[in-house]
Amino acid sequence: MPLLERFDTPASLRDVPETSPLYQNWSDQVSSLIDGLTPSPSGGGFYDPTKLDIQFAGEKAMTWMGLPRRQLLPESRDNKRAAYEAAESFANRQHQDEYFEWRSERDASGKIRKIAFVTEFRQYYQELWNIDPQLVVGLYRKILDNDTIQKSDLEDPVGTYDILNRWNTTHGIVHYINDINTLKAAVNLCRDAAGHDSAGQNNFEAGPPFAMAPTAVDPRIAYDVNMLVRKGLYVALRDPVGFYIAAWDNAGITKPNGRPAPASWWKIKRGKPGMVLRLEYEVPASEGFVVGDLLLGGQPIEFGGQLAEHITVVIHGTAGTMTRGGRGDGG
Amino acid sequence: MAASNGNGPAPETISARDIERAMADALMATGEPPSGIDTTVSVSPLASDVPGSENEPVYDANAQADIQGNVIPGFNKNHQQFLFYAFPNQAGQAKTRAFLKWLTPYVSTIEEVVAFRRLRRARRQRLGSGRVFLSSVGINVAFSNAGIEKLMGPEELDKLGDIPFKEGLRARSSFLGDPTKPGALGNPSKWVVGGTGNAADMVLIVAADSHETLQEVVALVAEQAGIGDFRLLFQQYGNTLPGRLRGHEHFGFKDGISQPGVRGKLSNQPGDYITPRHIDRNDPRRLYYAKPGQLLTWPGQYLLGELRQSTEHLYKEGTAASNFPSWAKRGSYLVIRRLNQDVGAFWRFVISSSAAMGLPAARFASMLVGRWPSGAPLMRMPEADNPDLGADEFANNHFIFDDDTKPIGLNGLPGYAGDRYPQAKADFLAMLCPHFAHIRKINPRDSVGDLGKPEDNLARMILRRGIPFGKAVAGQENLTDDLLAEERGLMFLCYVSSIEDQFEFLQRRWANSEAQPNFGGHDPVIGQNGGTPGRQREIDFPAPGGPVRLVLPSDWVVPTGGGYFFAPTISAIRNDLSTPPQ
Repeated sequence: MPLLERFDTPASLRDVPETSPLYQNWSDQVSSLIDGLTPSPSGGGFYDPTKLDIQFAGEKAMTWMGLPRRQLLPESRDNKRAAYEAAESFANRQHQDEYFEWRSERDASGKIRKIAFVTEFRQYYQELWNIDPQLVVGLYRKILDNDTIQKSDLEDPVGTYDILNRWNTTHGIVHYINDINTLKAAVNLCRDAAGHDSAGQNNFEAGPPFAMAPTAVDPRIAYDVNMLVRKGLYVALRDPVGFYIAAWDNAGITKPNGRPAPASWWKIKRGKPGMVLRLEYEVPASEGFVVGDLLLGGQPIEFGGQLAEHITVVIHGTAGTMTRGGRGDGG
Repeated sequence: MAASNGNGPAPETISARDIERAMADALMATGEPPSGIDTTVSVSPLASDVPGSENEPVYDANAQADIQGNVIPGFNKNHQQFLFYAFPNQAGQAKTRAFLKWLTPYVSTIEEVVAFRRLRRARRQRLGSGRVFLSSVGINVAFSNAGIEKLMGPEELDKLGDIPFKEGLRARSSFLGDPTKPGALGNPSKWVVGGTGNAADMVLIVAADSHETLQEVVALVAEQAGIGDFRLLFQQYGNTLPGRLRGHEHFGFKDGISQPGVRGKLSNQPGDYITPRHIDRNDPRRLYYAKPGQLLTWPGQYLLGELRQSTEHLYKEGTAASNFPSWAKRGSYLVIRRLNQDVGAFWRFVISSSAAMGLPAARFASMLVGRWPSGAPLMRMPEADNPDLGADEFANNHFIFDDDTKPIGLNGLPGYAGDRYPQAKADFLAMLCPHFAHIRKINPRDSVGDLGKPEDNLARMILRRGIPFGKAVAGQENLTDDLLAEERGLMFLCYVSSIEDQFEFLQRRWANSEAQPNFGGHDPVIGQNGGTPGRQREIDFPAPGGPVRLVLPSDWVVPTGGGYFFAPTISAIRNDLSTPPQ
């Protein structure tokens, strides 16, 4: 498998022309996190695919549930409603720690009107801002369908991009803000899991770092990466590197008249099928009712977490073996 | 990814005789079911307890006489009848209670079922081989949300924390992916029981060793129910497939091999466990396996109020459930799904698609299931069925998926020659046993899934108590379209302490998902794609040049009835359900 020349933007987004410095800057940003993680040729490990030529053996899709497992288990095992409530109880989304954040938009009566789910990195918007803040303003307007958004809404007093701006917290959602939902955290997770020696063991025995984390994503990635590496395989995150919404289950959502809600009410707003970065759920205005009037499994939809529980998030890994004499310039 | 369903014969051109030949070929290797070692109840306890099991609860004689016996350890009878009743109206409540008072002494308990199994096993050991000529009858009872409400009032029903139970199966049907088109087979409007206008208040399970005895007891129950003005909504006779196919389901595959072990003891006697322990005491895997591949789970997974499985640890106890009223303690939720199996549709797909993939039909079908028809796992026998392995309960479940499986030491088992079969090799890319394969979907074992850790898988397990219904096709000669068209299937039953976190999780979150617990497609056996109008399921079939996406044109397992029920303890039936609300 040839060396990767450049890390692509998540879901190969093309928000700006190909000539923009964004693409190289983004690649450099990803590279800076992964650079140096080039393991020795003998033992497998987590590696930088721009530096090491690996013979592709297979892909591993690492999937997990969007609803924070930490809220669901073990504390709220007998009270799911409490878990749903807790998961969106903060405007800074501090309980949404599965590389998956969402916001429920409610009408005057408090009913959910629309839910937006995102898996976009803050660093992407920061890179864009560094090139031209108006690019970010334009994206916000487009994503949130709101032409009133101004640059001043998105910056702090010294003109830096404010990730906690109101259109990404109290009044909207565009990208991750939870401190833990960063690419750096994910890369460190992979690196630590790859470095854990579990030769000759299996998942019941291995106990990789983060195996005991209360989240779903951390043990999921840690177990899978560690499992691949202990077989002597070299593991990388598949380009374009990103967390994606992979699947959602529309079954069991019913209209007020008891009939099934159509799958078309789910809209991919950013990314593409298989690599969705922003997913929205909303009832068309012509129907005369809102999301909060729907039932899921017979229960009124009162929280975005009820849908998040049935959304699958994914990060893709590739695994391979060292090619004979195939080391790249970084090895 | 390549997509192909096109190169095999068109399914509609495949005749009943073609299906007969394909099934006969697949079942050729399957021998007589074993009649030797019966390990389901410990007869000769170990000399001492297994180190690490000190915290497991002891269910003394009182507890054993209180908990219904089909929950633990399970009737496991060849003939069963399921009677679904509606209670008389409010004016007849006294009659309902009188019926329950009559019924209660007949309700079989752990004590009774264990005693019979021990007796049977002791005689079998004395005989060495041949029929044991012992017979018993088991009766169990469970109540739906409506039944509980009628007997105890809405407040007591509301105290039960399981939302699916309170909603009822019909209300949860579309959530489970069932057909939503009114009038379609599988839609609750067409269910024989538990659907629109025919939900039961109570279900009685009668189990016997012979059809004649079963019918005698059913007649007695029916007579009493008639006196009580109960309305029989539906009844279903279930029986195991005949001859060498006993224990197989209608598609032809051995069923019920992998059941979780329930932790706990039957007395303070050393080694007197509910689930016999067979792992060598020096092997650390004794902490989580009862026998090879049988994971141990804490009893609170099935009995309310008992300690549950920790979702964070492989063998330590978690908390007990807290969301139930005191009368429901040690009761269990019972899920019943009457699942029609369209054997013709399944095998037509197999014959057509296996030809397109260049594989023998038996092997292709086995890759859908994850086991060969005999029960031998693909993980241990990737190339061909091995009936000896299929029948060997100490080897047929001993495998994991993501890493090589290591041999496991056993306590001395008189008459057992040992596990002589090749150990399973790591199949983390799911080339041997695909991610979509039924047994990998609903029991990922050591693989991590959407909740992140293998430990969590144990908290999803269920105690299955199903039995086939309808006339067998498997093993039949001169198979005709008429016989194929007859109704048959599986009375699926399972006991759990959370319908939502166990049964519904397995069906919706795993079987119905192309992405969970691992990418690779829908469960081609029980999965349902209810979220899209065409209900189209897809599987990524492993192939040397990369997976080939196959489209499954229809559902061949279709729900046609059932209900969510609650099986209380004997004392709760006697003291609470049979007593008018204050």
